[in-house]
Amino acid sequence: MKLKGLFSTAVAVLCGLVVLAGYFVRLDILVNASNTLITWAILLTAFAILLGIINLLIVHVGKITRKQKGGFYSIILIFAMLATFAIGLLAPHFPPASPAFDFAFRAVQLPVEASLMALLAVTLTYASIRLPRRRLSVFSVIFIITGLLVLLGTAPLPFLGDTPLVSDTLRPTIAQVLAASGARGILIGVALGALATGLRVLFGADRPYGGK
Amino acid sequence: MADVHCPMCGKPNPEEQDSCQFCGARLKPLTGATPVDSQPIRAGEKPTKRPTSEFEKVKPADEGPIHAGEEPTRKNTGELERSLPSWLKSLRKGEEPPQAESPADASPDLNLPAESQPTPSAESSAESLDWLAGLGSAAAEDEEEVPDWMAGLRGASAPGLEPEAPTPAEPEQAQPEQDWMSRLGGEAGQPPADSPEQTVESAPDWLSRLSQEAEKPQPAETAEAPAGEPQEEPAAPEENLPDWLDALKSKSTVSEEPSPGSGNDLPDWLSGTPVAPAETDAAAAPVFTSEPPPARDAPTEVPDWLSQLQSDVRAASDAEEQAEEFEPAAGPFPADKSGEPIPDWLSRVDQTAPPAASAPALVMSDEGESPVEPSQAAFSLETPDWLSKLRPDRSAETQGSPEEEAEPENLETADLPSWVQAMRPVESVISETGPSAPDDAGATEDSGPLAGLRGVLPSNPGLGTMRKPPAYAIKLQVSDNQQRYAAHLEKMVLEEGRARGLTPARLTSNRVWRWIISIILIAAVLLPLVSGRQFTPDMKLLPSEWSNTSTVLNEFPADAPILLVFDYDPALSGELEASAAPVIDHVLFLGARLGLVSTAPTGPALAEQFLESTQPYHLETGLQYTNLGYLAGGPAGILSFATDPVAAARLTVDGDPAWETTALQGVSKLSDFAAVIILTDNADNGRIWIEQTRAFIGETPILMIISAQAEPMIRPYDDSGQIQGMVTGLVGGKTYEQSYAAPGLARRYWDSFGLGALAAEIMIAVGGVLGAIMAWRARKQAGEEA
Amino acid sequence: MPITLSWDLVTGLFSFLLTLMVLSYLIGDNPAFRVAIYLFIGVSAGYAAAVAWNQVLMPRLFLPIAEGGWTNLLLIVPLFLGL
Repeated sequence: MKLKGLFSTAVAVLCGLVVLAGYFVRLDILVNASNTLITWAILLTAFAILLGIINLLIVHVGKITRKQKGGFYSIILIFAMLATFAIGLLAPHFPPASPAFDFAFRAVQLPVEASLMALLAVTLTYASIRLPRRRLSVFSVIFIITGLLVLLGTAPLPFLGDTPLVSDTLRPTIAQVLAASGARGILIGVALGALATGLRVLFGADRPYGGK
Repeated sequence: MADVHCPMCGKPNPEEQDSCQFCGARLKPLTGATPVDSQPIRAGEKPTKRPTSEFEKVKPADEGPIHAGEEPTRKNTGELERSLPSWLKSLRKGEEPPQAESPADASPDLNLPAESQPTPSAESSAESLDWLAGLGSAAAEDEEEVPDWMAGLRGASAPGLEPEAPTPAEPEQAQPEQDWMSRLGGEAGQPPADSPEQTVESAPDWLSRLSQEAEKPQPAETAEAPAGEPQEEPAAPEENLPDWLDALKSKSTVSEEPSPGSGNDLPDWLSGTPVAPAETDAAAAPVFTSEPPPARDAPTEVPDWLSQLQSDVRAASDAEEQAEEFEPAAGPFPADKSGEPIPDWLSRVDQTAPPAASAPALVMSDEGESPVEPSQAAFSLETPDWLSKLRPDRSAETQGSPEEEAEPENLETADLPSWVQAMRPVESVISETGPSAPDDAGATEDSGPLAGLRGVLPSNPGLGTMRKPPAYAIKLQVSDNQQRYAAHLEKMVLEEGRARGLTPARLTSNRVWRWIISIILIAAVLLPLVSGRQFTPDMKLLPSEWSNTSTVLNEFPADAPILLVFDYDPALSGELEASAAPVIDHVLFLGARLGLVSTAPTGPALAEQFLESTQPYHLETGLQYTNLGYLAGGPAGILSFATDPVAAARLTVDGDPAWETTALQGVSKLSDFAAVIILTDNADNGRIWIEQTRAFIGETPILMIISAQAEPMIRPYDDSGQIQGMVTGLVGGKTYEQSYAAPGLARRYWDSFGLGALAAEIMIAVGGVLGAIMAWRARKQAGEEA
Repeated sequence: MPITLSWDLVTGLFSFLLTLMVLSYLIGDNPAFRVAIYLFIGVSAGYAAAVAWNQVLMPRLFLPIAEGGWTNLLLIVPLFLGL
């Protein structure tokens, strides 16, 4: 295990250093090596997608074989997945399959995701209404008032258009000053955290790939 | 005149002295292999090498008993090993556990000869109380002189407890006695058979007194034997006997008188042994004698260790009858020698009546003679510390002898030493005492390795009670705290049950409210779409960022390649399409060529969907675009594309060479694009694109068309100039549409967006106020009730 | 006026049906919502897998390996690691 961990750590550090060097030092050998490693990483990501699909398939097949509750829905899922995958594999080589592949996206994925977002809008509205009753506090009031001001400043009022004082002053102040300043702090923290994480991985202190 | 230091006490003595004038120990050894050997090696001298073949010339068969003044010859004791009993041989193999590593670990049998024959070390002679320590030291001093067969025992026995090593020249007849004595010692872990003459001569006073009281003349072989140990064959001349043995012989026919001094010299545990009242005078001195026991029926008090010792000797002798060198162990105690009174405890030495094998070896048959209840005595007497560790082994050894099974009726009542009584199994004691020992109830435990210890063993009457399996109460033993916790838990469970009863009504109420909210929102969104009327005016306040975007796009040359990145989810396609449509329409009107790419699997389809739904006009008029498809790997994919877009996306989604299409002609790297327009709803995706392409994008501007939810996170990049333009949400698309495009998707959504947002604002405001009032009233009521 | 069955019509009808099934969650959890969700998950997974295969693995891994060449043979390494 130690040898395995040492090997994986060495590989990770070496790859990181090569990519980093290829990023800063534009030597052909370093750039080529860096591009090769990045390409490998991309391919492994694609394999990860396939692995995730296989795992999903195994889980739901298990649910069906064990006759667990919801097995019927698992059958639907597996059928949809296999059918879509099969059609997708055929589409580039078999033109009549291409509309079916587009159908899977436009008739299923697109409207369902949009509908889920509509559910989210309803749910957020309902939660905002319920918030003062369930948790009446200063922060709840601030949250509700801020949300209302942003909505008022963003959306036009019927027959009125822009909301005076809100659309031209309050809403830009909230979105471009208050929220943006907070976002800057978050972004700076993210950048520093990413830098520290990268250095820790390069030094072998962090091993997200496993190993001890 | 050089002085000779006594090997025992270390005090100087004149050279001509044969024995120490202080302690009486012999200064000049009686034995010596050769005259050369008798010459001591002095300090600074080199030891001379002697041929050991000299010893081989001496045949053991020709050896006679050694006499005083004769030169002893080394004895080849290896031949005797064949005649060793099996149990003794097993001791050589280390079967005996190292129980006698220290004097404290010595077994009781071991310590009997050690006590009756203290080692003649200086310490022991000077300090009679520390006789055990002297024993250890004496053995350590002469360890190298131990014969071979004794050396074999050394591994099993305690080195520190071995007596002083024998001299090389021993009489031939000494072998049997060595063996039976070694048997004793072997069982005890301390073979006393090879006691040298020094040992005999340096016997303590109490032992000398014991010898004077012996009635039977000791054979010559006993000169090599420890004091008190009988010897059957009287072949050796009496003149070879040491003085103390002579005295022993002279007293052998005299009635044995108790020696008060001997009792005083005994260790406490031995001297404290209770003696039967009728035999007190005779048994006061635990003299070792060859006298047979007077009668079997005589009430005696024999220490069980001694009876056990005898039984072991008998058992061993039966197994060795083929060997002529050995005599039956029972020989030393002929029953017909005399009927004179002897100590009762000694009289039982000849009796071979241990209990049955299944029964414990040490059983008191007569409870009445014991001053205390047997069971009580067994548990109340304290065990010497140095013996406490040996109990299990001793008790195991004391069982199972055939002779013990033979005559169980001959057992006599005896006052056992405490440590022997402690060895007795609990059942035997309890069964003997029966219900007569209720006093100890509750003072002891019933079983386990601590059996025999005071205050540990139970004295419950009846064996059945002892063996009855413990009855464990099924009822839980709960404390007050546990009961209180249980009550709390029960209360919580009950409260939980009541809450469930209220849940359906609450769920129904929540569900109704959710339905109402949904209906209102859906109606507000659908009303403008269904009615087809526009009741929401256009934006009058234009966002500041839209002008930057239009400025950048207006600076593009005609037929400029533009890279469009579709990095948003289908869920937000409605907002992003409405936001991006006027911008892309503007770009296409400028004659730009489009390259489409995405870091989401659904991105290519979304791009196609976007163009088909928002740019039908341009598609019909020969829109030139190339869908590069999906870039896997997230940041790595973006970096790969930024580094070498040709290698990262070689083919279109249709499988054609991407960079040979009309839309991407003249583009081989990222900076060849006239602009990069990123459509995203995720601030992280926008950030990654900005960061990963910074080093490769050159002067190419980056424009962002983002969802309203990503604005706060992307705006800092716009403010810092890392991106050159930004269109945010439906509002941004509507304003851009108002300026540079025909009314389109943004306008269609505008009324629904405004009305739906207004409905949501009203519901949130009203519902929030009402909820706050209700919560406030509930608090007030709760405060009043409290 | 005859109604021509096209992909757009089928797509629209199916999208509307699925939208209603999803919005039925406003009433409460029901089989229609579950069917829509499970169908959506299955289609999404299959679609992502097909896209990854068609647009990543085939053009960037298997086809280069099939073409041969020293540089392309290095792609055996991610293939081995991926498998």
